[in-house]
Amino acid sequence: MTNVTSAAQKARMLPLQILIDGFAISALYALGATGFTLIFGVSGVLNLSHGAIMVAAAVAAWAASSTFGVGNYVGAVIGIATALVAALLTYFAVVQPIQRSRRIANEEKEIFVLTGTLLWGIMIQEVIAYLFTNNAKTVLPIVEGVVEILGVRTPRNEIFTALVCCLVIGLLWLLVNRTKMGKAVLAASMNPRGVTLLGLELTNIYVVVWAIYGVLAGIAGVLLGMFLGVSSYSVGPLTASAFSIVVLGGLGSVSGSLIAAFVVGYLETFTAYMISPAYRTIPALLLLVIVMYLRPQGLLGRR
Amino acid sequence: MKSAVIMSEDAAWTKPLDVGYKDCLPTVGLKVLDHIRFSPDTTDFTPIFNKIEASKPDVIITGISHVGVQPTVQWKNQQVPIPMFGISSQATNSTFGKDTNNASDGVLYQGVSGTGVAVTPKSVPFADAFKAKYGNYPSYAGYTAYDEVYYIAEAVKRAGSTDADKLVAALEKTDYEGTIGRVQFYGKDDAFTHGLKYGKGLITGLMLQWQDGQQVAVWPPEVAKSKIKFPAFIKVTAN
Amino acid sequence: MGFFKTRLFWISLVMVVVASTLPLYVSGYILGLLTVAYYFGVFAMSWDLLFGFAGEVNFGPTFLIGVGAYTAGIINNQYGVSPYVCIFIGAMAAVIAGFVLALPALRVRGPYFGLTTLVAVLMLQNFIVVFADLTGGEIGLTIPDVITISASANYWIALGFMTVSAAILYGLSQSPIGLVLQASGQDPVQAGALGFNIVKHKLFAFVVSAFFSGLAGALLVFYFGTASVGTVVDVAVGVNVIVAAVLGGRRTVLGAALGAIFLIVAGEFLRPTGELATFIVSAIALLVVLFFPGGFLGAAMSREART
Repeated sequence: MTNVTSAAQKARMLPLQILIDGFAISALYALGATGFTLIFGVSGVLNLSHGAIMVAAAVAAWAASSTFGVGNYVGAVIGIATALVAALLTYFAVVQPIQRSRRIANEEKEIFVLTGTLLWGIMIQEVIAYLFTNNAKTVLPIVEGVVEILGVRTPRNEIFTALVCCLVIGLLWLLVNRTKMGKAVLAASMNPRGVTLLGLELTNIYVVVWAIYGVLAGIAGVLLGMFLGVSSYSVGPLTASAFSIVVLGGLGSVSGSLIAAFVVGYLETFTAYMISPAYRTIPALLLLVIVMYLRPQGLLGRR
Repeated sequence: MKSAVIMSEDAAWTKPLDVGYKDCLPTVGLKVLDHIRFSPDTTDFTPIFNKIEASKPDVIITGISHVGVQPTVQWKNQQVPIPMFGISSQATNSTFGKDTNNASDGVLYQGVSGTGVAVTPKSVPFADAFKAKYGNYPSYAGYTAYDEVYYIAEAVKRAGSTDADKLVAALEKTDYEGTIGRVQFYGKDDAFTHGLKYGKGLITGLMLQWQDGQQVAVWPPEVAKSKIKFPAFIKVTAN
Repeated sequence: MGFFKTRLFWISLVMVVVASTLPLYVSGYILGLLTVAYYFGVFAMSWDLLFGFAGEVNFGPTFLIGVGAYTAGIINNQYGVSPYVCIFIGAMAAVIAGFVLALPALRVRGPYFGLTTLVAVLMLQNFIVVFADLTGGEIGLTIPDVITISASANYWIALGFMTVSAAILYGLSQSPIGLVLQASGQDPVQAGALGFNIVKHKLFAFVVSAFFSGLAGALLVFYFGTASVGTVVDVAVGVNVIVAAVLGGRRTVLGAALGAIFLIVAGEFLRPTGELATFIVSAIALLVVLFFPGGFLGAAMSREART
C-alpha cells in the first residue's frame, strides 16, 4: 500500500520538480545571454570571450572569499567588479582597435572581432588556469539550506539564483526603456548613424553598453559559481551556450534570447529527468539545427 | 545498508568499473536499485540526485573523475541525504576541500595513499617532499606515477635492455615497495593478466574521507586515523 | 602561368627542397614534430579555402577532420582493412560531411553559419562519447595498423602530402574558380547577377576543403596509431587551425601552412614556460590579428609589393 502511494506521489512530484529545477537554470542562462545579445544588438559584436569573463567573475569571487576571507558579499562584489574590468578591457584592447583599424577591410571586421575575442578569451582562461589550476571552483552561496516547495526539496540558493536573475533582467528592461541613457542605447542598436547625427558620441554609448554587459556577465558568473560551480574548462561551453541561445532567439533580440534561454533550459532539464542525463544537451543542439534550417533568423530575429 | 545506486560518468573507463560494481555490490549484501550514467560535461546534477533519491538507496556508489567538485557541492547544497562512496578522482586532490568550500565533508573515496598516511615508510616522506616542491600534496596519480618510474627503471636494469619482451619478463618479477604498497604483478597466464596484485601485505588501497576540510584515512584499520562521520544532512542507515 | 616566375614560387620550392633533406641531419623527435605540423598545415589550408575565398566562417574544421579520421580509424579497428583503403574511405566520408555542412551554408551566413558548424562539432563529440563501444570514447580509438614506423618515411609522406595539397589548393585559389568564389564570398548577389552559379561553386569549395581535411585527418591518425577527441575533434583543435590560418595570412593558402608550422614549433620552444605556453601563443596571435591583419605572408607580400 505504501509503495503505491509513494509511486503516485513520485509521478505527481516529477513535473513539479522539472518545473522548479528548469526555472533556475533557465533564468541563469537568460541572464548570461542577455548581455551578450545586447552588445550584438548595439555594436554588432559577438564577444567570444564571454565564457572567460563569466568564469573570471566566479573564480575571483571564490578566491576573494576563500583565500583572502573577505566574506560572501564582498566576494560577490569583487567577482562582479572583475567581470566589469575584463569587459571594458575586452572593448578597449581588442574590439575598438579592430573596429578603428584602417588595415582591416570593413567586411572582414566581423571575423577579426570573432578571432580577436576568441584569442582574448583563451588568454583569460589560461591566466585563470595558471593562477588557480584547472580544478572546478564553487562560490559559497549567500543563502544556504533548503526549503520544501509543495513537497519538492529545493535549495534556498536555487530560489535566490532565480530571483536575482529575474530582478536583474527586470532592472535592465527599466534601464533600457525608461532612462535617457537606455533610450540612447536602444536608438544606437536601431540606427547607429542616426544617433551620431543627433550629436551623441557613439563610442560613449558603446562603453556604457560594455559596462552594462560586464556587470550582467559578472552577476551571472558569480551566481553560476554558487549554483553549479565553474572551472577554466567551462569557458568554451559557456560561450557556446550563450551563442546558441542568442542565435536561437534571434541575434540582437533581447526578448528572443529570454524565450530561447527558457526553451533550452527546460529542454535540457526535461531530457535529463525523462530520458537520461547522458543525453542532456543533445535535443537542444538538434533543435538549434532544425531552427537554423527552418527559420534562420531565429525565433524573434529581424533579418 | 541494503541498497545502492551506481552513479558514473559516461566514459570508457567507467564501463568495466560499472560491470565490476554490479557484480560485486550484491556479494556484500547491497542490492543495486539503479544505475545512472551521465554525460562527463554535466554541470547541473539536480536531476541526477533527484532521480537517485526517488529510488531510496542507502548509498550512492560513485565512478567520477572528469566531474567531482560540482556534484559534491550540489550534493551538499541540495542536502541529498545519502552518503557518497567510491571512486572520485578529484577528491584525492588536497585542494578539493577549498575548491568546494568544504562541501566535501563526508565524501568517502578510494585512494592509493593519502596525506600523512604511512602506507609504507616511503609514503609520508614522498608526500612531504612533493608538497615542499609544488605547494600541495599529490593526488592519486602523483603516488602511482612516482612508483612506476622506480620499478620500471629497476626492471630495465634487471633486463639490461629496453627490448619490449625482455622488459616484460623483468617486470613480471617486480617486487618493489613503493609509496602505495608492495608492487607485484600477475603473470601472463593468470586470470588478471599482468594486473597489480591486491591483498594484505601487497597493495590494499585505502578508503579516505573528507572530514572538517581534511583528508582522513578511515580504512584499513592499520592506518585509519578516525571513524567514518557524516554531515548532519546525511541519514545513514544502520550497517 | 605567371606564378612560376614569381618570387613566392622560388621561395616555396627552395623551402620544400631544404625541408626534404631534414631527415639526413635532424633527430627523430624534430621529424615527428614537423610531421604533425605538416598535417596541421593541410587542415589550415583547407580552412582558408572555405573562409578566405568562399567567405564562410567555419568554426568547425574539426567536424570534417574528425569524420575523416574516425571513419578511417573505425574501419581499420573493426574490419582490419588495409590502411590505404581506410584512408580513402575516411576522405570520402569527410566529403559527405562537407555536403552536410554545405547545406546550411547555402541558406544562412556569417555568425549563423558559424554556429551551425560549431554545433556540428559538438554533435560529433557527443556521438563519440555516447557510442564509446565503437569509437573508444574519451580514452581514444586504437588503430592497429600503421603505414610505416620509420620516422623519416612518415616525415616524407607528410611533407609530400602537404606539398601536393598546397599546389592543388593554391592553384585552385588562383584559378577562375577561386576568383568566382572570392566574388561570391564578398558580394553573392552581384556575383550571381554576373551569371555565376554560386551554389555550384560553393558546394565545390566545401567538397574540396572537406576532402583535404578528411584525408589529412585520416593520415594523421595512422601516424599517431590512435584517434581521440583531444587530437582531431575538440573545438580547441579547430581554434588552433583557425589561428594558424589567420596568423599565416588569410586568403593566401600557403600562409596557412606557414602559420600551422609556426604554431607547433613555437609550442615546442615554449615548452619550458610550462602552463603559460598557450597563453603566450594566443597573445602573439592576438597581436598579429590587431597589428598585422594580413598575417605573416600578407605582411611579407605587401612589403615586396612596396619595394
